[in-house]
Amino acid sequence: MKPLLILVGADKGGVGKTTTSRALLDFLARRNILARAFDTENPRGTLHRFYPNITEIIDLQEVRDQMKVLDTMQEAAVKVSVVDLKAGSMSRSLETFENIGVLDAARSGDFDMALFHVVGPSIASLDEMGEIAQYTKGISYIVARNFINETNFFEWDEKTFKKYFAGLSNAREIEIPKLNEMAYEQVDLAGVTFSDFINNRKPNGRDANYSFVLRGYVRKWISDLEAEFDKLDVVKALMTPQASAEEEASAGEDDE
Amino acid sequence: MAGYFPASSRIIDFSRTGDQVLVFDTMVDEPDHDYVIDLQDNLLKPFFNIYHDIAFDAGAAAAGITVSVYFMLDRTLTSVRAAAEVSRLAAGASFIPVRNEAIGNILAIPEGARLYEGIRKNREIMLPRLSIDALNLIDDPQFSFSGFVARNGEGYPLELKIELFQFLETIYNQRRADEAGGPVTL
Repeated sequence: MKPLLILVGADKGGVGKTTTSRALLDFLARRNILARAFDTENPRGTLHRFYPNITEIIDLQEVRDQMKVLDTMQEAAVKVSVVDLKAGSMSRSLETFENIGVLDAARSGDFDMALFHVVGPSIASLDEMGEIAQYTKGISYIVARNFINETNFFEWDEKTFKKYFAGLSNAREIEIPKLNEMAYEQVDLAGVTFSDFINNRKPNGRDANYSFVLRGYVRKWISDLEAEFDKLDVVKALMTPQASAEEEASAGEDDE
Repeated sequence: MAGYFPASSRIIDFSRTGDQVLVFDTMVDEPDHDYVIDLQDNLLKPFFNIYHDIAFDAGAAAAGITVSVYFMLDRTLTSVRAAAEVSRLAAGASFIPVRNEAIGNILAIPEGARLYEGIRKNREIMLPRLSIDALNLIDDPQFSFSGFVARNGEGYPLELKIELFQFLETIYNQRRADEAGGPVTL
């Protein structure tokens, strides 16, 4: 299996980026796909709080930390690396990756690469899509529209979104559905993964006493979100590595 | 409900997640009680959407709870369509449409009868029409059917006593023989 580097980013904070990373790691775990994660929320590490065993806090501007992620991809037993990019650092990180040849290596097939760009309710979120278009050619670019919070307060309508989206020939689109606020808050307070919350488990694996209703809300949300992830070629490739990798490559050629 | 059973009822706002937790979590955590949820009509769909989304059927089954949905039909097609939807959303529950003789018969409308026929139902109940006097009597917050039966209708005018016993007997006898309680004679 070819290594896969997944970046999850947004140039604005509070759009649900880390939630998307968490959901993605949960999704991979439930599919028995081993993944390692890098949290660039240095030094706090929100993602690290939920996945302490597989997450390392790094500073992506540090060469040493870039090496930790990139130089180990081929050798690491775990082939999927998820990098949760610090809020506001997506463009800069992509620029860095472009400059040190990471994006070119992905384009030439040394490894697979996907960017989950989480967009929130503001027009600025849409503008980001145009700003990073130069970096997304030849990689899997996924625009994740986040409905998890402020669902009713989008500054943009569907027409505006489609206009922005139409300018990106290789972009795929998914929706992060809304999760009941109280359920979200309880998972956060519990400091567990979404899967553990659903399964009523504490971080140490012992039985917990989470609300039946809130667990139900999270289960439904995860199920809806998985349906969104399942639509993506890059995810399909993980399920059937050989066939889908070729599919992805030919799709990339078509896009160009 | 709270007016008739103040000691054992609680008024909740089902649009609030905290109240949803109160209802469903209490039932799952304390399954040794019987619970009755009287749903306002505008909350019917939201309630059963949540019921379905949180997989209450499965949770209830795991806790040993049997769920029965009594759906009060009126004489409109909207009502019978809502019944079909609720029956679908609460797939693991017993579904019992309840028709009221006093407010007309949806089955008299061909489309209504066709839709009604297609609804998954475990059984059905027809409520007999009650006289104005009987309705006034049972509307009194001091009245309870259990008290009425326990005192054998003592203290009520004979005609009302007979009417109410027939009303209850007609309803009870619409249970299936294999159900808890079975048909009864009062």
